[in-house]
This record gives sequence, C-alpha cells and structure tokens, in this order.
Amino acid sequence: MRQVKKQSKIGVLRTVFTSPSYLAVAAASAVFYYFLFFYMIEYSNRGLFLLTVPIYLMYALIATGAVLLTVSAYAITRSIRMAPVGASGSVLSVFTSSFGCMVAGCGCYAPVLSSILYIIGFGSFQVSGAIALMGNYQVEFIALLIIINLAFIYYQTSRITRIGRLSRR
Amino acid sequence: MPRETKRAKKGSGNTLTYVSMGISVLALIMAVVAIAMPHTKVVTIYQNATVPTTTVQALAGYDITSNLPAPALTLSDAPIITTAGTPGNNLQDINAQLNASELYVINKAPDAYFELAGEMLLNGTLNNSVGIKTSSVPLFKVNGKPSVIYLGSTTCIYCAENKWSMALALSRFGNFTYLFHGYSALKDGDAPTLYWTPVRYNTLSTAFGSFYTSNYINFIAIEDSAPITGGFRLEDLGTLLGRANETNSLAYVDALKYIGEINTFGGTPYTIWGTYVAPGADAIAFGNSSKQITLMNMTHADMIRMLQEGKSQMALTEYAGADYYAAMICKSTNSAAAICGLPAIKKIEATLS
Repeated sequence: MRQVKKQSKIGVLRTVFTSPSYLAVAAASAVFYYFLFFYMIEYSNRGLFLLTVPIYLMYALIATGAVLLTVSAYAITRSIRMAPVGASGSVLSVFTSSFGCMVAGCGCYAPVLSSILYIIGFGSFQVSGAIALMGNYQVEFIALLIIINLAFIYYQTSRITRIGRLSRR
Repeated sequence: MPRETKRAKKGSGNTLTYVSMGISVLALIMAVVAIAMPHTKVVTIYQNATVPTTTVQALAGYDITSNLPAPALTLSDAPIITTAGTPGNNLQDINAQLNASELYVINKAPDAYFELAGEMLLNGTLNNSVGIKTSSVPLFKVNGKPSVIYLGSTTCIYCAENKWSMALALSRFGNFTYLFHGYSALKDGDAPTLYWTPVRYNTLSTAFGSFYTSNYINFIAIEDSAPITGGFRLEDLGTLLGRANETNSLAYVDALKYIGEINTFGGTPYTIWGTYVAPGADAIAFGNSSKQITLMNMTHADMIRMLQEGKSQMALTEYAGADYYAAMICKSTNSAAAICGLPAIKKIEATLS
C-alpha cells in the first residue's frame, strides 16, 4: 500500500537543496543562466558588456531562476502527477531569465525584442512603443520577473506539499 | 505506523525527463537568438566583398518642399552647467557651444585620417566593430536635396558614442556652424557627446533641427530628450510625430512617417543616409579595443584631442564609422563631395549593395 509523506514548503526546499544531485542542478543552472545573461548582453550590445540596470538585480534574477528550475526538476522526478507543474516551472524559469537578459542591456537598442515583434506582425509605431516601454521601465521589469520566479517557486512547493511524496515499493 | 518509504530507483524514465528538459531549454534559447540574427548581424567589410542589404519593398520616396526649423542657440530653462563632476556624475558644459578650435577639428578633419581609417577597416586592423546591416529605401528629398535623417535620444549611450562619427561624416558634405557639448543620461553611461542643438535636459521634450548647412544634403535631426539625471528614456514614434506637428515643418513630420513606413526601427540611434537605413550605431567605439569602456571616463576635450591626433584605435574607429556613413551618401546620391573621391571610400562603396 502506498503511503503519503507530507512535507512543508520549507521541508521541500530543504529536501531539494540538501540533495547533492539537486544542488548540482542548481549550481549548473545558475552558471548556465549567468553565461546566458552575459552572452545576451554582449550580443545585444555588439560585443560590449554594458549593463544599465543594477547588477544585484541580475544576480537575484539568476538565483531565483536557478532555484525555480531545480524545484521544477524535483517535481518532475518525484511524481508523474507533479510533472506538468515541474515542466511549466522549468519553461517559465528559462523565459524569465531570457527576457530579463533582453531587458538588462541598453534600453535604447533592442534588436532581439524588435526582431520578435516584427515577425509577429507589429509595425514600427508599435515596436517603438514596446521599446520605449521596456527602456523606460527596465528596473521595474526585472523586479517583476524576480517576483514571478518567487511566486512560482511558492506555487510549486505548495503543489508538492499537497500531493506529497509517494512511496515506491 | 507508516512504513518507511524507500527512495525508488531512478529508472530510465527520470533520465529521459532530464534529457528532454535540457533539450527543450536549449532549443528555446537557440530560437530566441536565431530570431534576433537578421537584425543584429555585424557586417565586417572585406575588400571586394558585397555587404548584404535588405530592400524594403513597395515604399514610395518623398520629394517635398518644406521649411526647416530654426533652433534656438540658448535655452533659458536648460542653462549651461559650469560645475565639474566625477565620471558618471558629470554634466559640465552641457549645452555649451563648441569653441572655434573644437569645431575646427570636426569641420576640417584631414582627409588623410578618413583614408587611413577606411584602409584599416578594409584590411581588418581596427580593434573595434564597424559596420551594420542596412536596408535600402528610396530617397527622402527635401527642397531638391537628398537627406540624412537622425532619430535618437540625448539619454542614449549608443547615440552618444555614434554622434562623433556622424558629425565627422556630415562635415564632409557641409559645415556645422554650431555644435554643443552633451552627455548621455547619468544612469546610461554619462558619456560625453555632441548635441546638434541645445536640449531641454531636465524635462521630456524633443529637439528638432541643427545648425548644419550643405549644398549636397539635408540633415533632419530629431533628438528626444528626458531628464539627464535619470536613465535611458525614449518616446514612441506616435508621440514624436505629435511633437513634430508643432514645428509646422513638413520635412520633420514626413521624416517620422517615413521611419514608420520602413518598419525597421529597433531602437536608437536610427539613421537614414540617402538610400541606406542604419538601424543602430555603425561603429562601437567606447575605448581602444572591443573590450574597453573608457569613453565614460573621458571629457569632451579628451575626445576632441584624440580626433585631432587621429592615432588612437578609438579615434580611428570614429573616422571609420564616418567613412561608412559617407560611403552610403556617396553611393546613393552620386555626390560630388571631395570625400567620395578617396580610394578607401570607393572601396567601401563597392561593398555596399
């Protein structure tokens, strides 16, 4: 007979981050996101690493993204019922980190954002509005992405504690 | 008493999950970067190579008659700041006119510097990046002359470093009666630069016009401005168009409409040189090498001296950027300006589609 062992949200995080394998996932994803961030800033700025937002915000985004990705991996591997939550969490983690990298470079020149917007059918006037919005509220956008990461970490740990860890014979 | 649970063996299903997740993450990132490629590719010029240019289809050119705005030489609500600051917090001499000797360096730069920089660009001995993928558009003619159109922001760091190249290029086809000391926003590098006119650096506004005259071309300058003590800020094209309407200058209103029609705007600086659209700075010159950022620790006097000496990699990058812009004008307007006869300019022209 299967038994359910319930954990608190803190207990879930403790379980994840006291496991060597998940610690390795967290470290690897943090390193990956850091290089992604560095590469995208340099790419957008044509070889120059020019950051126009406080660097501590980028570190916070990288850290929360790595935690989210690790908790997602835990969710996927623990239970088939948690897999969709874990999968969505991992995709969200990549999205928030990538979008944050786009925003963190010079707000004046947004080749990645404009490329995407033109492809989906925007015109110059709409693109200029999007660039203006992103450039004018860079710090706020990154703070919002950090909050989204934290909210999804909370949501995932809540789901994990609700479903519980199933024993396997 | 509940049984102790045992951790299940990690089966092949978990491995597959990890691999799938990793592949999907990598695919997503590659997709984002791949989408970005066409608009951001830096073009390296090689002799006899052809630089690809995208042709914007189904655009009608403009051929209009218009008055051009006459900007003020001083602004009482944006006075010159005389106190010196530290790099990153310095606005000394903002809105002050370049003096005669400074203006001479821009207006009368020796052709030899343009030639040397052009040859270095062509043989790949410049340390910095020069070149940009262009789009081809019909001419925007005002009062019978083709135009150079500039859309930028005083707060923008790339506009700041690019305006030195722009001024050098424009000086080959005409003359600046006045130029002004400027800076990018304090939270966007505080880089020393040139302003085409005095700007309202402490409020949201847009400056139209310049003190540039030429027998060959018009210079349509649109410079958006925001509080210089903040970060980068830009108004959208619709807002700029509304402000242009207040100038009663058809040239500026139609220039913004034209930028809207071209559908390549991706940020500032955004310039049109004859039939070539440059959707960004054509040269990245923040220091003497591609990894150096020293512009923000420099003064206007430092930049002027470097341009006057014409020896440093940074100065030569600015001249090479000017060559690239000049070549666009020469090719698209069959200009009789002297610079168009320089061998390096002719070679750069040959690389443009």
